[in-house]
Amino acid sequence: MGTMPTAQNPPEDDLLRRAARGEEAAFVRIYRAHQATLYRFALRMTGSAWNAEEIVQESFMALLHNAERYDASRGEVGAFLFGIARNFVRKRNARGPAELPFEDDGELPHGTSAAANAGARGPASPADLAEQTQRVEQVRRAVLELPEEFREAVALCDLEEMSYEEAAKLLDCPIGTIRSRLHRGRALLAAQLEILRDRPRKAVSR
Amino acid sequence: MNGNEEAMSCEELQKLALNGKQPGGAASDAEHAAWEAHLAQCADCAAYQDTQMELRARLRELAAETSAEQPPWRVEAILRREVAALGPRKDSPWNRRGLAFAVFAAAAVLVAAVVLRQSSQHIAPVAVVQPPPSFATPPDISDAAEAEAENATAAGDFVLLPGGIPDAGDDSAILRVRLQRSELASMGLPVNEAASAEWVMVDLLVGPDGQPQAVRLLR
Repeated sequence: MGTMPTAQNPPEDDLLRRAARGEEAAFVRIYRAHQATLYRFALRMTGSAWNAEEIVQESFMALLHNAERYDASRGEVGAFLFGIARNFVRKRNARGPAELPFEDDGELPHGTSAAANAGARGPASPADLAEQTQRVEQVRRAVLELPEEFREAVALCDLEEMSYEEAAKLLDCPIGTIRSRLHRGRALLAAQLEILRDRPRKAVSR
Repeated sequence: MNGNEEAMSCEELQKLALNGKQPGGAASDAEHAAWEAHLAQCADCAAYQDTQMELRARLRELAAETSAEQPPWRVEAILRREVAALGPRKDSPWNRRGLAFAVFAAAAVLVAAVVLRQSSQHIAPVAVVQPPPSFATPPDISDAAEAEAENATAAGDFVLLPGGIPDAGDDSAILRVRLQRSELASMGLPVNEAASAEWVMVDLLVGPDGQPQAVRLLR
């Protein structure tokens, strides 16, 4: 996350200060740099598109109104924003399960259907598409059932394909912690998805 | 490898597998050979390696399905409106810049007078008139709002400035001035950035307190 600051790409701490003073163009640059990653993170952490949208909105609002609390020496704007978003995720999850889980509205979130995805790969039979959709939904639910700390690591490293270093920056923890959470999260996922069924198991316990 | 290139323990192999590594991605030929040899003789580790590969494949499938997800456009629109509101509130332009604006307006009137005289147009540089009969809705921040504001002004309507009072009262006055579009932006009106340097003639409705309340673009 983040690019080398230049005259055309001013550092994000500068953009944040300008955005907090009401400079719309500066805000748009910060927003567009982080909105998608933040949204997918919130979506994977809460399982609800509605909650994810609210979290993105609340996080950026909080960023704008707390810009003076941002300390560039402690990390990048993206990490500060993620810290805010994680708090909102925790609050939402503490209220209970998502109000609008994916499977209840009879359709997957926009742009995520197996059919839409398969289009780029060539034709697939309806049975294949149905099977793929079911498989993806199964993994999505298994991820949602992970303990929050493990889910964060899986969401960032496995689903966003971030490096351990990038995830550690965003989650403000050592790389070793990310690695450990990721390993345990994957072990739990394998068990949850019963990928180990009918196979001898060398368990990695919870 | 614990310094022993010929053997790989279950723990070492499982650590590599958990990191998504496969024998083909071994760091060296010796590690590759040790890896394959271990898998050939250890059913548990072979199963574990398969498990991790399958798990990674399924996670990649979920990642691919959701990689294009992003918040709906309305979130950005709401936040941009919030940012736009931050400027006037924090800077209090009508308080801080009020005096500067009055000076600017007076100077602009003089410039307008000269320009108009040179172009032989019979437009009074300063005219004190009754408040305009109608107002357009307050401007939004979008491009559509800019078009809407321009359409409103083209129809002869004044567009209220942020914080402007719809009925400015009998003591208000209209100042006809020539200014750059960027000055309209500084008053809180939506302006196309590409044309921000363009000069335009406008009527400013100035309230009894000397503050501009509304603007009308002249074609």
